Amino acid sequence: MGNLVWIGFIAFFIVALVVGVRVLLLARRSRELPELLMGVGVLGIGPVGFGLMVVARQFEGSSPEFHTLLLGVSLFAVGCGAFAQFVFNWRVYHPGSGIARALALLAGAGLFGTFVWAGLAHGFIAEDPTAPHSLIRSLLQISCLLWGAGESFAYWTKMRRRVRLGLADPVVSNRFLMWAIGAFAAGWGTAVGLAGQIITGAPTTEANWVLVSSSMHGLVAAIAIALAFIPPGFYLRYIRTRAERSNADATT
Amino acid sequence: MVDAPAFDWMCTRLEQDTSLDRLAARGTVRLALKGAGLDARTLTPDQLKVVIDKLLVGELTARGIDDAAGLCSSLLAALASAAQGLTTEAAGEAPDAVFSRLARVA
Repeated sequence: MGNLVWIGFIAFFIVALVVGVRVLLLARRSRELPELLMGVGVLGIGPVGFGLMVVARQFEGSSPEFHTLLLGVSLFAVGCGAFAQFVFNWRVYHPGSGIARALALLAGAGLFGTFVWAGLAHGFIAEDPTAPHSLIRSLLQISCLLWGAGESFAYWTKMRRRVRLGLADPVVSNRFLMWAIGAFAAGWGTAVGLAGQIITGAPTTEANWVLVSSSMHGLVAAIAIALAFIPPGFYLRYIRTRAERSNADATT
Repeated sequence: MVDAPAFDWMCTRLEQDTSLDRLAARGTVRLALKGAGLDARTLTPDQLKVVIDKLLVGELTARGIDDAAGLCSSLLAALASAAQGLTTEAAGEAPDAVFSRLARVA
């Protein structure tokens, strides 16, 4: 059971690494901003930020300086990833909105500010989740994911109507839903983990129910993000067949 | 953002060809667009064609417009000749265009 708990974390780590790298390679070829933002967002919040945090724990006793360095890089990666997600939400869903732009820029300033604050306050050593800078950073990280999930879900509701009229590709429509589920699971899982840490006063790894919750949210996020960005052939066939059947039913 | 030329064209034609006033015409078209998951600001002539063909008849009938099917047929014919002048440069890339790229192999 102990090892099984880590399945969600491992799945999320692998899927986010594969998707993040693929999307960044795509960005290098296409020279388009959304791909770059999505790649930095997924890699920064997932494998780089989360991964380095886990690696840093291994050096906590043996090499405190290296431990602190890794935690600092990890926090920086999470900040960059969250900021990229904020800018993605603004540029992709509301490019003409002053409010969305202000939100994204304000969040960027907040993330940078909390990074500097954490460095000045205690040099990035393992921090109290209720410390103001830690709390603000966590809330911003949760916000970028839940905002993205909400936007993607709202767009999916439009896309499914377009699919019925033959105006949109069912696979692209499903990608909005899967990203909405993946981003929501990641954001909500982080929120539950944060709440658990605050309630129990213990790190995620030391409170069993928080660990299981975070891992299960990670598993859901991993499956949804994989189906969104690296869907297997059978899943694509299933989505297309279901859409054709649904359109046929609507016309008869 | 302002409404797309295709949307304005459609509303003007409904005002001219039916008893609907400006407000009712625009509301009717907006309801049809909502049913199609489309936006008045980014509406293209190709999308409008599908909306007229599949959704507008129902909306016009619901508002007591006589011979809604015949009206839609004439609107489709008029759109075919007007379509070229109703295309505009998109203000930005639509989210579905972004998401259609994101799963491509690099």
